[in-house]
Amino acid sequence: MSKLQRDRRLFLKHLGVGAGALVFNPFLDRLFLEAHAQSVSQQKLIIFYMNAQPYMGNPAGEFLPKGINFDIQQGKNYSNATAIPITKMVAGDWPTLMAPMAPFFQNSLVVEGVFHGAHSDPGVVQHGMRYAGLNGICGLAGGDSVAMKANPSIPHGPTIDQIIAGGPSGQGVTHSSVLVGLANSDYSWEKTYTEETLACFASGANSPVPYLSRTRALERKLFGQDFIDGKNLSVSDAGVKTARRLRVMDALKTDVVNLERNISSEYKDKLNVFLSSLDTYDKKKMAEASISCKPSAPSALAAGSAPEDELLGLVDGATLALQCGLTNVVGIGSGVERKHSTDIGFRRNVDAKVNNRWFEGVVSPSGTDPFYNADWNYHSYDAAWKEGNQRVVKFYVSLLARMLENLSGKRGVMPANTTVIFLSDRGMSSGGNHHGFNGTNGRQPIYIWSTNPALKAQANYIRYPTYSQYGRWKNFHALSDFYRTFAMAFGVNLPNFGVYGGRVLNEILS
Amino acid sequence: MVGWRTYKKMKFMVAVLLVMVFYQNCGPSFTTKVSSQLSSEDSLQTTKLSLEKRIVPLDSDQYVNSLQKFLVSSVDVTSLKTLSRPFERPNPARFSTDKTLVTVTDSDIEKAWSMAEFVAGKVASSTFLAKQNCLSLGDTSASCLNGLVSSWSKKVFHSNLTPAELAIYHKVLTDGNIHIPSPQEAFTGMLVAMLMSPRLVYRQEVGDSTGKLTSFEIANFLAYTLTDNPPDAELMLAADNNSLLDEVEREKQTRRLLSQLDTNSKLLKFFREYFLYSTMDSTKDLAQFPKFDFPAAVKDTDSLVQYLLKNNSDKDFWKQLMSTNKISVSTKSAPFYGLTGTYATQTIRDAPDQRVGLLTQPSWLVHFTKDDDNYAIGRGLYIRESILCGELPKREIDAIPALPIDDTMTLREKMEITTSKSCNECHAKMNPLGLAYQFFDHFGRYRVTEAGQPVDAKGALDGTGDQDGDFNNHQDMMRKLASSQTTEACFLAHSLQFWLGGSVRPGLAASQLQTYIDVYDKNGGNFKEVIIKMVSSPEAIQRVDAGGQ
Repeated sequence: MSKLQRDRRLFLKHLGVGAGALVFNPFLDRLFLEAHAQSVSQQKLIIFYMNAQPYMGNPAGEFLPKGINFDIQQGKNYSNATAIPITKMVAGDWPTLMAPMAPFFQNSLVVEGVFHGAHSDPGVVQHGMRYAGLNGICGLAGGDSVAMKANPSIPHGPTIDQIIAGGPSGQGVTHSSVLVGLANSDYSWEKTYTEETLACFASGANSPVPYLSRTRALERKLFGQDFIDGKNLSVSDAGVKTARRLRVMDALKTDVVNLERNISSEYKDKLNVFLSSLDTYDKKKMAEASISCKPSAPSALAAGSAPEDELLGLVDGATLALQCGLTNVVGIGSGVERKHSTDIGFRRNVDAKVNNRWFEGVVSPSGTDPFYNADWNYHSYDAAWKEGNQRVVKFYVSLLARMLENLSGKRGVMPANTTVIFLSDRGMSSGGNHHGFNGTNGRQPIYIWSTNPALKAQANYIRYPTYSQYGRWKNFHALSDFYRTFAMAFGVNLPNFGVYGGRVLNEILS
Repeated sequence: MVGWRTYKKMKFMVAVLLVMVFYQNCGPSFTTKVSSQLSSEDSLQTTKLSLEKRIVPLDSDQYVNSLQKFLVSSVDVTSLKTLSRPFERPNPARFSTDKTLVTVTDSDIEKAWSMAEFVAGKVASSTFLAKQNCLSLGDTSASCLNGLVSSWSKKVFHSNLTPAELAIYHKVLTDGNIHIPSPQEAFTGMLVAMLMSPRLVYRQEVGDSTGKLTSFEIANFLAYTLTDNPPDAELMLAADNNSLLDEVEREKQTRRLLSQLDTNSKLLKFFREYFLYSTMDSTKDLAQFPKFDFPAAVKDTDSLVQYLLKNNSDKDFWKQLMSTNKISVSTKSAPFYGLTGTYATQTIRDAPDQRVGLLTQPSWLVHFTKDDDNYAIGRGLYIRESILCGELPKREIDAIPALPIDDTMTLREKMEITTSKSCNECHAKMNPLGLAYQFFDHFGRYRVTEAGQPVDAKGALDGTGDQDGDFNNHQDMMRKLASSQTTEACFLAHSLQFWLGGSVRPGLAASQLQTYIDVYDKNGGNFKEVIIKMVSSPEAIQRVDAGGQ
């Protein structure tokens, strides 16, 4: 078994989600071969977006730093920025759900209370997943397109990939982002929202990049070709051979492990020599291909793979894209939906198409869905659901940690020039659904890890007062503000952007 | 006359010495085991062969043969042979089948990979062109893919893999998507993985839970051991039927394989490696002998060995090898023997120039020469170690004085400096044996004078136990060596080492050898019967855990 394979299996084992198959794909070679021509020193951004139905959501407290007693004081006017408290976190504050990212704690910034779905009627918080607001312009069908609507005088703001990739003149660097994600949903409209959210995430409404929910689609984007039917393929011979070598190499190493079982140490040593020579050969071939990029092995995705394997494969592919300089913005989204009707019962995080394999193993102790007709508030949170929810979230967070470790080459070391945004589920904690989540829909935490000195990413926690808590909607701090501020951190000065916010969140800037 | 008991003990000690030489790197624990056996009367009884569970690396011939069989075009076969060969062992410890010292090198992997890519590409191309498998017909169903992996793994590995093992190659076939970039490429990748697999590069001799080789392990063992090729269809059928677990069937298959090999490359390989006659290290000044053609000399010896195998292997074969007065000659080699004329093919005839046995063949003689003279010390060392299974005292050598450069001196005179007290302890065991061949020059031509003096090839033979004593020349000495039961036992010991590889367990080899001496004697000196016994007996297919009994 290769080291890479071991790493991945250990990774999954530690998560308790089982081992998937590690495979290699032909597109990697193209990545390798093209990578050396790319600059890898530019800023990189990873946005990880989790989109969950309310059932799947975790209460805000699960995501927020522990031990911080700050709360919004009722009646206090927080329009004065100096009144916004900034709390220095200590390691013990780190939420359990975010444990896989704890090694990066010192580069973190947690922002809570930046509202994303305002409406003149506080009770109307539509299904639209307003994290699309991070691109500054996307409103979604079925959602409230008013809340994050761009200032009419600025019809099209630069998108995040443009900002990150191109700086102030980023308009010329369009659509270099890679957007990957899974949108598992029983509700077609929820799935559509997830897809649209992902599509808008980094590229803007006027020229959305379809999100890539399968490895093949990722290949298509990176190669610019349709690989699905294998026609019109023009991958170089060298590329094919490299991809073949990677596949074969993994098989050989696995076979060595099998053979070692029944022989004495003397012969095991011989097989180790065989392995060592394989590694030498591999390195030599790598060098011959002028590959300056040494990414970790990506996963693969045969049709019908378990969703967690698919997502892992996509994330590893996206890591490669970042590592090799093919892109500098990766958006990863996962729509984990559950149909809120009784006919499905208690499947958890189920993608019906893959036979309940989505983090299977956690089932509700009940046989019916008692929540559908309930009050829509924290209703599905029995112990079994909680375990399932947290396992899902922990898996996502682990993917982030894996990406950072692969990018930095070191465990717990934040790679240079890299910024990560993690957006937790939009369910209970994010308030993305209008079904009675007024009490929590303003508490969407945004986790940021960054080496950008312009951001106050040094174990800081900032909590803004929210619209829903006190009805002070005219003074709330919105995602449009965050977006504008975030752009500033990368040297892009946007004008007053959103129609509801319009301020700069100086608290998050150094 | 040597008594039977003395003879047996003598033979035992000879074999032990051989094994000690063979396993001289095995550490002091082996010496202890040998001493223990020498003091035990029981140890003189026949002990069954005991081979460890092991994986056996294919040598260059075996690997190339294994790949070549998949090629249908002679052009492709020719192309394959132009590629650099992996797993070549130009300087094996003793035999190319000595598996104890063989490890794969980085260069081996690179060469093997090139060959595997070449063969896999050709096979995939022809298979898909002819639409010979379901995948080439567009079928990507599970049954098609499973069938492909299963059938090809059997073709390559000549065994039935477990589902878990098959899954490894199934994964290569289906990784990502069978269509990326094409089904043919996916198939090619699977074949490359199989042809590069440690499962092919290392033949398994692990056995079942009792250590008995499985039917397929036996098929591979017999085929590669006897022919350097993978099992043929008949052998695979026997493996499929489990009939190879029966000794009678194994013997039948062994005889069949041997009968196909009257110009046996594997048999020839043994003799080449045992007698070392196929290589030459010295550089010859062709002005001295313009018609010198070493490959022709090697071909002569090959031809003579094949002649003896065909006509004399069933009766006193060792004696024939060591004392035959026949030579095989060609037009190119005729001048070696002072002959003229043309020979359409290799011709067997009586030697015209006092040659006796393989150790007077020009190829063997030239192997042990320097650029401008014979290498008598090398010849003597070879005979001491490889014909007599003796060894030299272990001494540290401070300096090796150069032999005088004087055209008026014979080699014997020059080598006088090696007979000083400090040198003679070793050289006394080499010089007389090597100087027996001074009737031949360093081109292997017969002569009667050396440096203007009559040739002096006199000496004394020791170490045989039964044929020791003075000799007048190489003919005398060769006949003594040919008649010695010690040299015969030594020959069989080397045979055991060659045919069964190098992991015959230390301390047991001596008594194991007695079994084959008995077979040889009982069959009137029939060498092939010994080989059959070596590879088809119950002991030959039994394996023990490393360090076990």
